[in-house]
Amino acid sequence: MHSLAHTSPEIDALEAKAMLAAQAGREAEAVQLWNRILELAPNHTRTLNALGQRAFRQGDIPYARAAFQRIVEADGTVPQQWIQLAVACRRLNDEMAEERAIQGALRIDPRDLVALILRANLLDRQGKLHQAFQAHGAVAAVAPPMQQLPPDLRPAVTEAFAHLAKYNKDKGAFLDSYLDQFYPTFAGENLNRFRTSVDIMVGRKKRFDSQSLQYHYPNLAPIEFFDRGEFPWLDAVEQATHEIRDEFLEVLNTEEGFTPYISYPPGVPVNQFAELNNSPRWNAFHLFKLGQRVDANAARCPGTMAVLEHVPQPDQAGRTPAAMFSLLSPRTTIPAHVGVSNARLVTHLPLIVPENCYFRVGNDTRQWIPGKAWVFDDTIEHEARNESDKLRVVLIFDIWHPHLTPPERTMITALTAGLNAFEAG
Amino acid sequence: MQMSRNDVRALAATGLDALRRGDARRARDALEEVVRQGALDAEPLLALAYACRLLGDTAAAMAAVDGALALEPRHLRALLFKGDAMAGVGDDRAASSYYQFAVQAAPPAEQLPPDLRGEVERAREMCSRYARKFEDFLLARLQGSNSDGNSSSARFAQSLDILLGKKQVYFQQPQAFYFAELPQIQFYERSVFPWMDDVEAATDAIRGELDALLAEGTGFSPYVEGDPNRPRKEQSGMTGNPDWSALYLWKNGRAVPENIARCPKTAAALARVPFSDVANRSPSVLFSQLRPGARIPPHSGLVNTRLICHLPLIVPPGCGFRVGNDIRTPVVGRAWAFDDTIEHEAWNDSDRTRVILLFEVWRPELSEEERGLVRAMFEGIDAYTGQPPSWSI
Repeated sequence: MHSLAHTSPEIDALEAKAMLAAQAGREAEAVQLWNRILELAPNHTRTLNALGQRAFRQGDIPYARAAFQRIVEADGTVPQQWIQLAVACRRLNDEMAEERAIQGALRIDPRDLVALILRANLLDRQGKLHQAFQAHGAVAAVAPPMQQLPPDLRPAVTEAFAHLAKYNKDKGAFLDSYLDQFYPTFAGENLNRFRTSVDIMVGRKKRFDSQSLQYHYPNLAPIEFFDRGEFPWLDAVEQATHEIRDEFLEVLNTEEGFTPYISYPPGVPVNQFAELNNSPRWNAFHLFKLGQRVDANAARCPGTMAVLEHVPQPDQAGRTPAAMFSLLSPRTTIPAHVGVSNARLVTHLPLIVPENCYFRVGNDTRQWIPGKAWVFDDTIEHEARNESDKLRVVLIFDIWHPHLTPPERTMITALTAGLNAFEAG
Repeated sequence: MQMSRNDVRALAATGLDALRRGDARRARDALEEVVRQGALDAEPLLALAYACRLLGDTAAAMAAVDGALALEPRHLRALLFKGDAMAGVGDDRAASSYYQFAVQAAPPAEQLPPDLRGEVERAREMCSRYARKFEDFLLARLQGSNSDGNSSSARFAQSLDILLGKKQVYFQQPQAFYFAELPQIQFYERSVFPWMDDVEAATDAIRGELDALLAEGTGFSPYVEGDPNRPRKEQSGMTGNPDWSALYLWKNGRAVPENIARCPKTAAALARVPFSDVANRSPSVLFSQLRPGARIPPHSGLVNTRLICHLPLIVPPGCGFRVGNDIRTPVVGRAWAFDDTIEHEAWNDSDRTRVILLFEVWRPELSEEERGLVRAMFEGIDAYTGQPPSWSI
């Protein structure tokens, strides 16, 4: 503020007296002193502010507005000066002046939350739907988390989020019916990823990326469930469903060879798997484990092993392939998590599936159907639920990501051997 | 015998005092008793570890520091002690993981006492030494088993850099529209775009037309123009800045006839280009001029359904371009296509102006059907808002 330019010992003395009078509740005397200051220095901003605020409190909005107007003309370097002018103009229903004042605040600080809220509010009142959407978006983008907000700003920010949600909902509905005229042209084409893109744009779905915990392979598309056509060998796997299930049931009868699916060594942080760590609620019978054939178990499932021979299993010693019967107990949930590397994908062949079992990868929640296999990217967040009273059993095995070339696979195998040698050395 | 809390505290002080004097044996005796009485924090255990180390009892030192870390897993001195102990027994991997954790757990240097500052710095050096060792080992190993995958697969090489922590993973961050399930590629392989041959072959002719435009000195305007009706985004001073300026042949899907008329050969060279055509948005085709010393700050583009192509025309030394973790130097006449929704930046550290021809093409992965739907969807959005979009390439 440039009020220093208007100071003089006389003004300072008057100001001090006015402040004392105001604090002591001697309003009339304070006003008299302030008016005296303005006679000496008409643009004394602190005095204009005191008089304007007082008038605003007492309902004399025209006076307050005039005082605030003089402040921005004399100084105008602080957003708050423009904001109080905007609020006064709003009380007087002068939208043009209100808009100018809001712009004044935003010229100084484009991210001033209160000014952004006022602008969104003005555009709402003016019925400017699409501009209001942009303005609410700016409020949402600038606002800190709710608990860090001053309580008086929380309702406005909450409203901005509600406004955005409503706008996106309406926009989504509009686009759905607008696009309906085009979809029939492409009947039979796979337009799923386009539909997903629209869902993400209007907030009906979230975007999920591949988040490899250990080894990220770049340039691959983050696909939740892969197109069945990429895996012609799945036919043979599915055709063997009965045989595989029979072998599993044999194994189940003996109750030998099962281990908890999650079994961290002591001392390792257990994260979201605390509940399932070393728990028989999520059990596995391994045919391949960490890249190695489990001979004792494999010998009991010759048919299943024969099927796996024709599958493009990855080759990363000490890590993959894995292949196992995965047993999910009644009323058990595998919490959302991501896998170690997108260089491999995971195949499910459902064997025993009670009702009310669900599997989610990213946005896509599906139900297992016995004998119908699928392939998904386990580096995209996924979770499984068995809400039934019965056991759920799926044959799970790793495969190479189909978009890796043979030289790339060879190099990844070599890389793994290198890692192992380093860790052994 | 159970001692009172005060007595235990006094005994711990005695132990620490003995340790400071270098009397490890007395320190150990006192601190062991403190531990037997039930240590409440890591300090006496860590002091005991120091004492045992001085006495050459590695096993006891390790047990004591483990006890300290069990009580306070992020205790900085205990982590450093453990890292040193593991390094001492030759377990590089374990040592490196403790040093790494210590570096992560450490507060900013200015909040640390001076002696710890040096210690954390030492841990950081140990981490990078181990990282180099790991890298050398792995690279030597891969060279030995090379099936020439390393040279033929740029993405394998990139995966290795990410694994070694030399590069980070960058994802698409479109500001306006994200098309799902597309590969996240920074620079595309040149072979994906056979039509680039025509464009590159016409470099000299295009350059000739550009020279004429530059000689006239008109028609270039700031690349980033502010829109008074939209929230002003942080563009780090690029808005309205003539350091980065453009002359458009097509702008947001509309031809600029007076400029095209001045560049007939450029227009002809672009005849086979699969421009992304979306009403009110694209394509844009422009000469992009970056002044000496200027820098376009890191940013990401609007939609991932198109790629941006550059044909460098005037490139003084000292110009560079980064997309994600890939930094390249533009070469006159050599076009490239990149995903501008991955964070990218450009700079011109020379004392002369840099000029490229820039245009937008459909992403090659999108089918005709998908392109048609993207077009229709944006038309739908314009129908919904009843106004042209605020759009700048």
